[in-house]
Amino acid sequence: METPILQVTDLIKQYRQSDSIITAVNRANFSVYRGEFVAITGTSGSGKSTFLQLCAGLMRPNSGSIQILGKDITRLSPDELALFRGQYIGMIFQKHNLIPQLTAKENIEIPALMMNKAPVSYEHSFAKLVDILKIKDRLNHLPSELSGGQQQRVAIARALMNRPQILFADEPTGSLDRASADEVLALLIKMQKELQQTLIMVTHDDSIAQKADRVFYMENGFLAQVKHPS
Amino acid sequence: MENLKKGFLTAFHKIKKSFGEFLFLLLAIALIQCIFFTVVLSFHNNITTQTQKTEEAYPYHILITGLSESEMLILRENRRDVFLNDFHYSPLTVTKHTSVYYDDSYDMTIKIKTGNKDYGIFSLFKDDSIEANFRAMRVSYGDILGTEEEPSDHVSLFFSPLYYLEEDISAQYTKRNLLLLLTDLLGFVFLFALYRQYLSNQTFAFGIYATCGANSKRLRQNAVMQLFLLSLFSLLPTYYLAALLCSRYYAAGGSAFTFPIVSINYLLLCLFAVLPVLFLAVYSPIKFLSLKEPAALTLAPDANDLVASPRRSSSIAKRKFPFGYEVLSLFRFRKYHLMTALMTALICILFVSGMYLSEVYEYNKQTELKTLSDFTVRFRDTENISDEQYEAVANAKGTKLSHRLYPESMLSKYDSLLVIDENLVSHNVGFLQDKDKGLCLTADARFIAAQKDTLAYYESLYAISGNTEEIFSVENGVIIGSSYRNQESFSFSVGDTVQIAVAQYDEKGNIIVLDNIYPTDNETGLGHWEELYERVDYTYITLTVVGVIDDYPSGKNGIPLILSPQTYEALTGEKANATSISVSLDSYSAENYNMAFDELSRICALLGKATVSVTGESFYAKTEEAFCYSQFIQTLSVLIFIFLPLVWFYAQSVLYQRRRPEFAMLYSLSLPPKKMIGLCLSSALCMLPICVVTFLLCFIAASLFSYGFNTVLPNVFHVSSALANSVTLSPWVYGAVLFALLFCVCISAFVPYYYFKKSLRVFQM
Repeated sequence: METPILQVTDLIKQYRQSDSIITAVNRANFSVYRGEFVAITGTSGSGKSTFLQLCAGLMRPNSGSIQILGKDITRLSPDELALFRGQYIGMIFQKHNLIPQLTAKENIEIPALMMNKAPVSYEHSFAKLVDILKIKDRLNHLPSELSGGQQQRVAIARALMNRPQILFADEPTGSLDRASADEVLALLIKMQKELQQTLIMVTHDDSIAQKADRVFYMENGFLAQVKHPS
Repeated sequence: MENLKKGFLTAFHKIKKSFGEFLFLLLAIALIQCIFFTVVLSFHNNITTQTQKTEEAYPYHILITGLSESEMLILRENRRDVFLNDFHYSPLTVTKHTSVYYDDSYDMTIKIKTGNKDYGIFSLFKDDSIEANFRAMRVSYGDILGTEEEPSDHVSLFFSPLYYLEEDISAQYTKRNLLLLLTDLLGFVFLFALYRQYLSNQTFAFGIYATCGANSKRLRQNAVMQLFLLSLFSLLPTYYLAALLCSRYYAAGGSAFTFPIVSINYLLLCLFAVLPVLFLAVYSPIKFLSLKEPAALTLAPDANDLVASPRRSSSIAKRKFPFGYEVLSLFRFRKYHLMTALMTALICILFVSGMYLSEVYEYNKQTELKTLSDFTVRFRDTENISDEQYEAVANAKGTKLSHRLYPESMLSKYDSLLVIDENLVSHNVGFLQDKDKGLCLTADARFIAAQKDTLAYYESLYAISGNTEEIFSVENGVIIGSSYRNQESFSFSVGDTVQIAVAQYDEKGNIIVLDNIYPTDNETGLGHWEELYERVDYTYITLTVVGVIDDYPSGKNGIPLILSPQTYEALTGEKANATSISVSLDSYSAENYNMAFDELSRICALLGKATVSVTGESFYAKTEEAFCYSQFIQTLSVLIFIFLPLVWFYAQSVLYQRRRPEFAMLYSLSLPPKKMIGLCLSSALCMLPICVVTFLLCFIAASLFSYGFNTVLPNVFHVSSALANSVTLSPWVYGAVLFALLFCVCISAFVPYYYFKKSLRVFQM
């Protein structure tokens, strides 16, 4: 049997708010295999974004384990985890999260820079990426000079820059109009197929979820699978 | 190497792109470098000056005086082996003194060889310092020069400042390096504070970097490279700026200043001494940031947006706008304000303390310069120097101040006590009190015998009120100090009386005590005086005050009781005879020094049984005067003080940059620009308490410094120091602090207004 690329076991994440404790993720169990496209849906405040950030190593759980490529990332030190993220994980945020002072090109190059890659080593893949994402002529613009769709494409390019094995996307089309959303989604799926990546996407758009191999639903921190592979 | 080059290029692009963000860090680094270079160049100049002056004034290491002709010939002709037939000194000059009473005597100056090239293979086993060479010389010529334990009875040696030059230069370097270390420490504190502020506006970007795989090492590397590049930009300009500052203050102090036009050594020293500061300043803020979850960092700016929180927004509504709102903001951004307050207090205290230190230094230097002597003329086989002998020496050409060295003794040596009516004590600082009789007692006082010349000397040093010459006419007259332990303690006037409790001794020299109970030895201070007062059979001698000294350093020397030789003898039972005369030069130059020395030697030869020895004290003092230390300390204090507006402006601009979205939000919620001006003024008003507290802290710091210098140092460490009532900090210093703090308050009103205007532009577009 194939080993999952991501395996989450009994994951719990709690927040303290004033005097009460809120359980954002409650004993979640989750496995994803290489090359899969998995969607996580749920209502606002159900804990799906928190769950995604936990899986991407951007947050620490209270308990449980998250194994990516056989490595339990909850046991890694902050520095080791940062390196791990740079090597194997790509993240796309709903709000694009581009650094406003940097141009599109500089934003895309951040992951390569953080991994100490020489420009020669990524020139070719960079060119290919911006070509596919159709942002070649916008590279020297600041994020404030780009449309929402263009900003999200830059964010996607940044997430794919180091050719990560798993791509996490937190409502990547949430702030876009329908046409731009469809375009971005088509691009994401295209890239996932082309680069043989695993895509885990949080969305509350049913039409997007329908395109996923598997769909999970989250409610009050509980995770359940609602669509099985055909 | 490739990575380093890439790192520097990235850092360069980042700085180029966001130069505004780095401007304050650049200014801070430049200021640190400027302090650094000021210290380095000052000491460079001091060492150069000291070497030049020493070599000019003293071309020899040792002056040997009182040689007989045969001894002179042995030394001059090098007639004995020193160190395996290799002589390690060369005679420079020989001066003959003809005496009418005794045989002729000779003075010889010698220069000792330095360096180990003369030692050959033995250099591996030998200390080649000047001192070691002289020790070797003494082995061969011990019968002429004497030994350390048994000096010769007729030959005396004067080790010139050239002999100690290496040691002095090494001490200068130690001082310099200590100051550089302090500069590094100070630089770390300021840069750390500024970088922390800088990072607090970079949390989002750092969150993205961390999401993309940057660990703390990587982030730190980038930060250090950016700051290192900044330090490279400012390196040369700060070198010349420091040189300019040094030239200004040396000129103000009346001294010459020279510096190397380009010193690669100093530039590299600064660059690499500042590097650890940069590393340490970024280390903990970045480490702290990298420990946070990237998710929290990318959300940080939103989480701090007050208006985004319904709970907080509702609490604002209850407050009076804009003052109540800004008071709440003071609490919301307490970390910013706390850091700003701490830095403000630190900078102001350092400035005030530095200025005080320079005043104390200046006062001490001036006092010290008056007390130093250049030569001591000693009379052998003379019980007391006669007026004729004194006049002969005092009239020597090239000299100005001569006085006979009369004995001085602490009262405790004779188990005596000074007894003062408590009505004359304005401030009791540790006296023994006899409340029944209304008396204060102490043995911490000093009998000083004086003649007219000695009295003139004291008058040149201290402010003495009253007719001092009356100590010779008024029976048991005394000139007394008005301070005790460096604090103004007595309200003496001419005509007041004090008593000396004089112990009586039996024929065997034992102190006469009541009931044969002797005071214990293990008691000191008050306890001992109390025992003495209770058990010793004292005779009381009344002294009449004929003069009062206001600024005597009583912390070190005790209360002075200047007496005529007759009164001194009556009180101590010891002869108040002078056998030496202290002589000072009237002007300091190598020619004058040589002339005065020759003149004194000639007079000594004529008078017979008198020798002149060089002390070199005022040479050191004059050389140190050329170092302009007080101006140096003032310059450093002012440079540190410049950090105040820098730190304040930066902290405020970082804070209000962060509050820009909040202002835009307030404007969109119909806040009229007029009310916004009120908000800016309220924000400045909220910063006023920080300034008031800082100003008070400056007063406290100056008082503590004063207390430390005038009371703690003299009492605990027995270090000579200024008097509390003699050194006061100029009101200009407090004025400067007040002005700077008010300027900072104005900044606190201007900066939010500037950012509000910027926010408005978004709406007007």
